[in-house]
Amino acid sequence: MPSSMTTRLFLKSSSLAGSRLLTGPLILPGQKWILVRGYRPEKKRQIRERGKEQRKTTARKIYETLDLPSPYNIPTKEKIADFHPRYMNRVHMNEDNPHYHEEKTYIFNHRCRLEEGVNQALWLTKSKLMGEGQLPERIQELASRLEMPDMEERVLRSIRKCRQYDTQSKLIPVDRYSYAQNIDFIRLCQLMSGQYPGLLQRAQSDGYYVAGSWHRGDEQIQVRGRSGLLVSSTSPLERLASPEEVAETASHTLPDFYPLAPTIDLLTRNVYKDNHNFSGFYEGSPFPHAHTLFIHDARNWCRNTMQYLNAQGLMFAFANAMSRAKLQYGADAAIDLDEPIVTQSIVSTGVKFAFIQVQLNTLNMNSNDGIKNMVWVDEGNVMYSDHYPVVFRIFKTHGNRHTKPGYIKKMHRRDPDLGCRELDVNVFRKFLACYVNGAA
Amino acid sequence: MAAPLRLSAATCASKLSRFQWILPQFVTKKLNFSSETAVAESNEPQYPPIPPPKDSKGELIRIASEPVLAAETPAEMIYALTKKYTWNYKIHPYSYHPGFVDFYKHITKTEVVEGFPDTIESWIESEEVQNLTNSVSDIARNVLLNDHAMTYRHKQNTVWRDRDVGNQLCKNLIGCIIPYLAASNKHLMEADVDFDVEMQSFWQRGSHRFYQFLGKPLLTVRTKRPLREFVEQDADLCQGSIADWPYDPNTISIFKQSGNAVCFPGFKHGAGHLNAHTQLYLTEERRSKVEEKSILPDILQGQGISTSFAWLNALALYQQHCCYKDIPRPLTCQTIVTDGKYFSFYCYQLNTLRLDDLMGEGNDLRNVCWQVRDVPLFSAVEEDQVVDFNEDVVKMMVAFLANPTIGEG
Repeated sequence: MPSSMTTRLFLKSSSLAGSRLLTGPLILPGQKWILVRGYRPEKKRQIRERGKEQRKTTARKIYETLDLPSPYNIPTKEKIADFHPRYMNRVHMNEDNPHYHEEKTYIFNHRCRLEEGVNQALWLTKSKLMGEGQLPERIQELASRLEMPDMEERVLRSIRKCRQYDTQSKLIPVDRYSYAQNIDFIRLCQLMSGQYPGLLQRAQSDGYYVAGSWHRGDEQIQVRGRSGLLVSSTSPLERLASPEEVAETASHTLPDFYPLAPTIDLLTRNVYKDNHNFSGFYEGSPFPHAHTLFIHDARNWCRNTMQYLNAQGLMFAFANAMSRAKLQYGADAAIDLDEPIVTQSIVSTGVKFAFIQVQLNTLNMNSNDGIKNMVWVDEGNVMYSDHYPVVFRIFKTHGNRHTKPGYIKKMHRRDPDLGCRELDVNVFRKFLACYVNGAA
Repeated sequence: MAAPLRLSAATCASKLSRFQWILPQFVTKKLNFSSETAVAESNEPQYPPIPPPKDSKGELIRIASEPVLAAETPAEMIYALTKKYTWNYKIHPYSYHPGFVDFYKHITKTEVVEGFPDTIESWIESEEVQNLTNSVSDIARNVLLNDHAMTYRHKQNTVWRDRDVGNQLCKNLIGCIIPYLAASNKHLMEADVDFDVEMQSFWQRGSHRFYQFLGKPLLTVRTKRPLREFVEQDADLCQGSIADWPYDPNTISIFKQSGNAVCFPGFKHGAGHLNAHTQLYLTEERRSKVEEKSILPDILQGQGISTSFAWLNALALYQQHCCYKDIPRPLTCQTIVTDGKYFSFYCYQLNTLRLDDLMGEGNDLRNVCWQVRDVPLFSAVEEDQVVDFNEDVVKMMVAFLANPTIGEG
């Protein structure tokens, strides 16, 4: 016989008080809930209800047993709302969402970066790379023809303003000067409107939203987000390649990078709008045609190198054209366009510029056969030499090297000749030609 | 207690310092002057020169202005003015406290006049401006329609949405008007335009009160040559004083902060184009709230005064002028304050920088601000059409931007 059994028997036989102490719940005034902690939930509930019973007043016991109405107004507990009204517009991103689909879509937005760069973007947009790293001939001819009084002096002045004098900080950060440089070059280009009045029929919209979607094989690909500054115009751009050249692209094979899937680095989502095409502007807008998209190094998440930005510029320029085409011809139209849609994009980090031209020839994106779209990418245009000898003197800040990562800091000195070394005005000529393109 | 008492008594007796009392061999000065010997030589009493008292006004000005006037470049001058770590009252473009405009008028010593100055009034009504406006207004209407009704924007926060609309509309309007006018106006062709910069400047008013302005204009247009003055400096408008405001700025929620004052008119030293032409500020987004309290006119007026004065003051400092070295001729600028729908226009003429008690005593000059407030550009956008498009606003903007500088025409 176990010893506990003997004690219980012994206690039971010895005294009523002792047995009650060990078998029943130990309710002491101050330590009630502490002692109850070890019990099972049913038992706890039982104890709580018994406590409520004990705390009832005599009057309440009477009218409850006799099923009489209460003589007092017992205030009801106010129910606290689960959600604050401000956040009631939140939606579920699961099966409950009306936009939930079984099939995933592949999404590219302004925070994605394609590791394979322009090659991957070419596969996703079913495009052929034209021009061997040069702009189309018409634009090149325009670039050599355009003249602005004191062009070199003005460009130099603009660069110095954006790179040296713009803000109070000693070194102006990339995301500031690349943006300011774009804006200032656009302003310089606008001054040509005396010769080309078509330049006045333009409007900028910074941080506009665009969404374009198409199918590659069985997979739906969507490009959407707020990538940069769009200059839109009243008239569309002229086509860059003749119909014969377009027909020749049927024999082109798209680049392949096996074993990597071409959709790598894209986001996969189940909640999306099917065939979501939106140009960012409602119907009846006076500036319906996308002219040029300006993308700068905004450093959202991390600093982008030029190849990722080029891919981004290509994808979003293509989305601008695609969304307009789909809205015009319908979401399911898989046709070759007689009048191709042309858009441009200019990507810059303030120092390096890339000029991208897109011509949308076909909406038949499912198969890899047939005619392809056309893309001209002129990359690696360096505006000026950015490499200067950094005058560095090491000095120590507060803290020590174990606790503070910034214990030893390099001292940067403002370079008075920044932006003036090896200035290449031809880059600005290309910029000007791209901007003047529709108006000349 | 005994020792110091004895010491002081001893020094009093001998007129020696404690040091000299302990070591008498270092006493070089002759303590008791005997004028008898000097008088005996030339028969006239000869006294040592009397230095001016250190707290006299001239001496105070000399001590304060010596390092400032000795500076060779504007940067050195600004450093001499700002190197002292002081308490600065922070002045923002506007404040919500009722009655803050009187304070702003006092600290900038500004006389406010309703309407435009005569030169600008006649310029706005001239045929040249009318012709320019006719060709621009169609583009302006299209831009307005596009930005107000046709662009997809934030849905949740209406304040953000309105701010974006105003921001984008102003940039587009300026982007249309400046290139169009630049063909015929040389000053716009050569001008520098700064977008989204900080603007800070400091000045002194009253006795030992420093004010630090902190603003963010949407854009500023700077030109090679200065604008013409609106009225001559000898005119009655520019002469006189401004009502005093002898209270603590704390009472209208303007507080001070310790630090070095900063002068930054949107660019660092050496960028060139130091002359103000036109600037554009965005105003209060919560218009309905402000209208309830009926302080909207105050806010617009305060913003016009403070931003114009601060910009001109900062540019004057970059031209190496300050309260110790006043500007030789009046500086002028034009300011537009808008939220994308309602436009306010200000012309400011800076006549003097001598505002503090030390330098400004007996200074009869005052600064003048002309204002036209709250002109609506349109009433609504309905069914893809702009209702009640007010061409006068575009005309005023065109007139401001096409206002020629001194060397021109």
